[in-house]
Amino acid sequence: MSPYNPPNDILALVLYRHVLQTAFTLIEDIHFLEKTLQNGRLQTDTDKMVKEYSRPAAGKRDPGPNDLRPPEVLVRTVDYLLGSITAKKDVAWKDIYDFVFDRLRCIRQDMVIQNIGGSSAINILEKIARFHIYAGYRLCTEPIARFDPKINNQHTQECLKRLLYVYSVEPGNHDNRQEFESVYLLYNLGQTDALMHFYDLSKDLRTSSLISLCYRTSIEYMIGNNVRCLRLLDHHLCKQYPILLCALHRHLSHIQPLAQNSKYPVENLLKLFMFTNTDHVISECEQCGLNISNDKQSVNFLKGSFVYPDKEHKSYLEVIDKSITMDNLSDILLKKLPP
Amino acid sequence: MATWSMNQYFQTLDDALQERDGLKTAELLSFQHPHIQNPRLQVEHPESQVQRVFDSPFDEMIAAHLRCCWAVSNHDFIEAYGCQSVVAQAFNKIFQSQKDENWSLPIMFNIFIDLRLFANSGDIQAVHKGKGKMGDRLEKAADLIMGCFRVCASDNRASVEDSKKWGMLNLVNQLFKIYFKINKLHLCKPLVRAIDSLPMKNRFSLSQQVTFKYYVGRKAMFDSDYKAAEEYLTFAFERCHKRSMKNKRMSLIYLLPVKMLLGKMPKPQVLQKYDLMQFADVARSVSTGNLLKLNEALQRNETFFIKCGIYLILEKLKIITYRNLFKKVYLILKTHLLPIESFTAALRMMQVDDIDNDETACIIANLIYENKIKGYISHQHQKVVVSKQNAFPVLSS
Repeated sequence: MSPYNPPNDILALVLYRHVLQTAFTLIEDIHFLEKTLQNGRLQTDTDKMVKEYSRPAAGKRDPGPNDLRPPEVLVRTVDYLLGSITAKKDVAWKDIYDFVFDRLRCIRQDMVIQNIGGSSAINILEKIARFHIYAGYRLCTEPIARFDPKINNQHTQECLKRLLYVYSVEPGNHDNRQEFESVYLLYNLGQTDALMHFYDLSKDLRTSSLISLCYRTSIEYMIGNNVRCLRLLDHHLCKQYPILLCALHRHLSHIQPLAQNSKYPVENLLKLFMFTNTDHVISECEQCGLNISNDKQSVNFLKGSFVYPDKEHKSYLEVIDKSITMDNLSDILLKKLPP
Repeated sequence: MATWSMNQYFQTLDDALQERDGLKTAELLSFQHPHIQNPRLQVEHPESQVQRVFDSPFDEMIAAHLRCCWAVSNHDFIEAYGCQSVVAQAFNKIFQSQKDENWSLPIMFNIFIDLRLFANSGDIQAVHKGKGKMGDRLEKAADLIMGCFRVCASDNRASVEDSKKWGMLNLVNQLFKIYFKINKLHLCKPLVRAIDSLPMKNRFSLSQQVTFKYYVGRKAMFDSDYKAAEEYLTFAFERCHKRSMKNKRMSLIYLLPVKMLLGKMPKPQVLQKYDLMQFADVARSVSTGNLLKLNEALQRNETFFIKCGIYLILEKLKIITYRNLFKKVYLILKTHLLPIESFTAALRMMQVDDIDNDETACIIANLIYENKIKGYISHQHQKVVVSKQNAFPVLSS
């Protein structure tokens, strides 16, 4: 739509007003993802502009009805951000994350102010939660100055908790509830809160194959059977839900050192932890203060020499990288593919 | 009392207030007292009558109380909660203005107990009518109690015997009851700290201390601090009045799993006495290392355990069950060189699905790490080498 021909559709009109407002008040702050290359120059593109997050603060005017987007527009905006922006291959994903994170945060803010619940809230929150969980995996190797896992984690938990709450008060069945109840269990592996939440679910949900599998995994983690948690990565149910694997991934750096203890063949470790090559295993072990035998065939585990690494060391996993690629990313986030 | 006229009620109440008789006044404002069943005191709009006898702000409190009697007689707990919160607010005003005196503490206790009970019943009615969700009123009631708690906690000038601080523990217990009900356990921590730092903390009445320890013990249990949980819950169980069987049973429901986790199994007689036979099979299967029976026992009583909020902690008993099972394997084989395979076989017998040596080794490694088994694993020979002396140290040590 062009700014010179105001649209007739009332929803589009609301969106249109937003675009204009943003465009003309903050002209110098236009994000480069809101511009288009025209005649060799990046030009501001009103079609690409999305309302920016702004913190509510003292002395600031409360947003009026003109500043807020109705649920239908919010859904469309989420679809645009996750469908078109996240899959851009020519931009560093870190920059995509910063942009999308900010705009999604604003969407949640609009939602809260209008007290939007029901199916549109579920629809929006599911997608935002998937984005944050994937981002936690995708950016796990970034230095802290470029990506703060703690902040991402906070927002993930907020979305998940809100989502689970809306599920519980909104009558009827929700298509993706099993997926997200499972995500919550794996994201908070072995945590009392998440496990206690599980007991509050109805019997049907508790006994569903996916949720009960994730519950068992969390319990096994709590009682120290870490090998079983690692095996989950290879489970056929989880492979259908790559986001579940991403949710579990954040615990791997804890599981891996815990799961080891004497002389152990490197080959076995390789299989167990799904590392890609021997060098990777060896560097991981050395970080924990473990000696590798000279022929590079076995690791000496000794309680005394074992130290927890100072810094959490995180790495990508082949299983996840195979199931989520830049080509299917938006489909996974928006769940357009049949699982 | 049940046949009093309005004027007789006013006269008695006024006398009690003039004499600063906290207990008497408290009774006359409590819903545990027969006067509330007197139809002559159940008035929808008592304001003008009350104002003729009492000055502000007492008139506000008493009028709201009478209107509350009216609401209760109609079984309308949503309205009753509304009235009682007016009573509570008016009381807070009066209470705050009373310097260096604490005779009104008994009134406060009764008002807030009723407030909490009405909030609870009001929530249930509202949910039933589809007019709100569970916890709406309880949360607001907690705010009111908190307001009064602040008045008590900041009373630093009065001498010990006149201090309002004597009201703190009672209010904290009320707040605990609400926070546990609406699942906001994280709000308990500052309250525990406030009580722990009081010089008079061991001089509160025993019944209040028992309630306090019961909740702090349950909180410690959720935080996986089992030693502390055992200490608090033991206090609550042992010092609770012996005729309060229901309360003793409640403490035991949480004390049993904690004790079992620390390796102390209950005697069947105790379980029988308190009607807690649900735990009998659990205890037996844990001590015999029978994982299969443990799973069965958990499944069979699932509803009860989940309702009490102890299912999770009972799942943790599996660690000890593994240890007991492995000890049996060790006793059967009579050697300190034990093939991992034989432990795996034992787990397979217990119908642990698709278990293999890697998983078994992992479980054993963790038991060694927690000092529940003394020894090491030789992966080269696929064997567990256990200490020749005391390979399985006593759990409860």
